[in-house]
Amino acid sequence: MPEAPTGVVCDDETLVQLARGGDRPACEELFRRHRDAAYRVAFRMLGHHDDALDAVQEGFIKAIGHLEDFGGRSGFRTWLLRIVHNAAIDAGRKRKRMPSLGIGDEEHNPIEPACEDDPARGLNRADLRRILDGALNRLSPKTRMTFILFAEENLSYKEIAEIQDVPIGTVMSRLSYARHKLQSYLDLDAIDEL
Amino acid sequence: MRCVDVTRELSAPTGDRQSSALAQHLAACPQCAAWAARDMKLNQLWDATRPVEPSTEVWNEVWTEISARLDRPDVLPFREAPTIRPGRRILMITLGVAQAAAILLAVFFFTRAPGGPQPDATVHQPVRPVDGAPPSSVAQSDSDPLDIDPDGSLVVLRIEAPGKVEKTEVALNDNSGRVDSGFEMLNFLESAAKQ
Repeated sequence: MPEAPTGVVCDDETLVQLARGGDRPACEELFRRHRDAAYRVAFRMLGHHDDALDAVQEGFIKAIGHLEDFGGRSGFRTWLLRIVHNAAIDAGRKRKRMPSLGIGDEEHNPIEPACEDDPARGLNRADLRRILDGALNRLSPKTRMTFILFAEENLSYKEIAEIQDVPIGTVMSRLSYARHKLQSYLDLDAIDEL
Repeated sequence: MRCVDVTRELSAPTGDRQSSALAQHLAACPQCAAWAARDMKLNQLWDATRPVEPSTEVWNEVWTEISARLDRPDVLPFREAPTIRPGRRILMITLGVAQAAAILLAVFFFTRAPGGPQPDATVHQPVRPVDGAPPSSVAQSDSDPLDIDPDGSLVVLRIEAPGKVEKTEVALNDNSGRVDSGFEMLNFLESAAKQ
């Protein structure tokens, strides 16, 4: 288990209690533990490094500033990801610099080619990500976030339901819908090697 | 097992993915098998495009910014843990409002009660005779002079005969158990409200 800056091994709940009392090293330790997960989710959601960092920053500021609202029913990570999830959606709404990856309903987004003519040849990681981001962008933000939380963070249905404040059945329906849609948007048969 | 059940199980696993029924269906249904193969490629594509996490230096810069923002009270005050939780605060406010309402009701009914104070009413204090006469037999008149005994008691002087003066002590603080119930309730509610 990671150690807090004070040298004492603490779980998240203890760190939250310390942070509530204004213990800044405890806040930093919470940030250190969960920043990567928050970044991965925000990056998948926004598709841009700087935007993802901004969402993580805003998410942590809101989380640390409102620790008294953390009831402890779920884990701190789940609670934090819920805040980052909202921050990412807000950032996506405000963002103007990447119109091709703007957040919106799939019905209103421009439809990009499902895949390039020869997607399996000479595609590097950035190309693959661009293709996948294009497909993800055609999902609604809520469906996209459901899929991201499941595929990127391996969260349970229950955790995703808590983050998105929906029933577990809705989470499973969104996952099924997302996979069907992504398959239809991506020419996966044409991709030989990954 | 139906095709829709298979794709649903593959999309949002419930733990039955390795069931024999699922495997049998995939072996016998080319359409579902192709769907499962594409789903596997989607997972591979996802794994191949996982974001590169920022370096420690980048994270240090982010934390410095977060810490600076937290120190700015105009942006977001770093609040201490509240001593009163929101639920308890609501309960206290509700109790306070209920107490205030009870006080108002008590005052209202007290003033409207038949035995309650009237605008022109005066409070009659019982008179206890000093010399043993029963209180009811003492007829205090407006002309009777008042005096204060050396012990501080207020007395009514009544001249029964030349050289014989009867002193009747006026017990201002003695209600003889006739404290009005309305006042008692009022005092109780006020005491409770102060606690």
